[in-house]
Amino acid sequence: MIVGERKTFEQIWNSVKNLKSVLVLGCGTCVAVCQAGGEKEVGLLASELRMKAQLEKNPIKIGEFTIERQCDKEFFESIKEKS
Amino acid sequence: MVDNYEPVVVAYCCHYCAYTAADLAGSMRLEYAPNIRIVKIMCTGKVDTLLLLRAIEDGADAVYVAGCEEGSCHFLEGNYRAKAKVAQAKAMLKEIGIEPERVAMYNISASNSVLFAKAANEMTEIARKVGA
Repeated sequence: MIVGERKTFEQIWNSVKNLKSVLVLGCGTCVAVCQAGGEKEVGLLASELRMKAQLEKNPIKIGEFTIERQCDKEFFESIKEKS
Repeated sequence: MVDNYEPVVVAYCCHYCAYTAADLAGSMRLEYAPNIRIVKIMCTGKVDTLLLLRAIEDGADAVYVAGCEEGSCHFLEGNYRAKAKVAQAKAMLKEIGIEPERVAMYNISASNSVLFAKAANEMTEIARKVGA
């Protein structure tokens, strides 16, 4: 079990604004419990990023997905299936 | 901003109070801004922050949540939860550089059709002022 805390939006935006496409990937276990990186938080962050990109006329593409757990490799198979 | 700009305002109204007030406003033939798009929900406690952000993202110029008066929520604390969600949405919009006044919370009792009309007009004016 780990404890997570989301970075500030400014930090996140500055690290992705020059990219062409970004996948906001959440985890449905530890960080979801901490309300930092679960499915809801992924939706919120992706929405914020899309609105910010629209405001700054940035053509960046934002995708969103949440896997069950990030600590076991098997759970990443679902991302491959989705893509 | 073009002269014929008409903002789109989304209103999440709870079945027990705000929507009933909207019905009464209609029965009383009260006039209010036609820019409002009412979404009826059973309780404002159902409203998630994501609903508010997605409304703005998908083109609404403003969005507000209209629920029961504090202490009178049919489901006891739904309107308190909605108040917290609206505050969170405002903070998030401010973070990304969008005016936080585009999101608001109103507490309207079922008989207060006048307040419903006032809220509709108020949010439309705010949306008109801040622009698209």
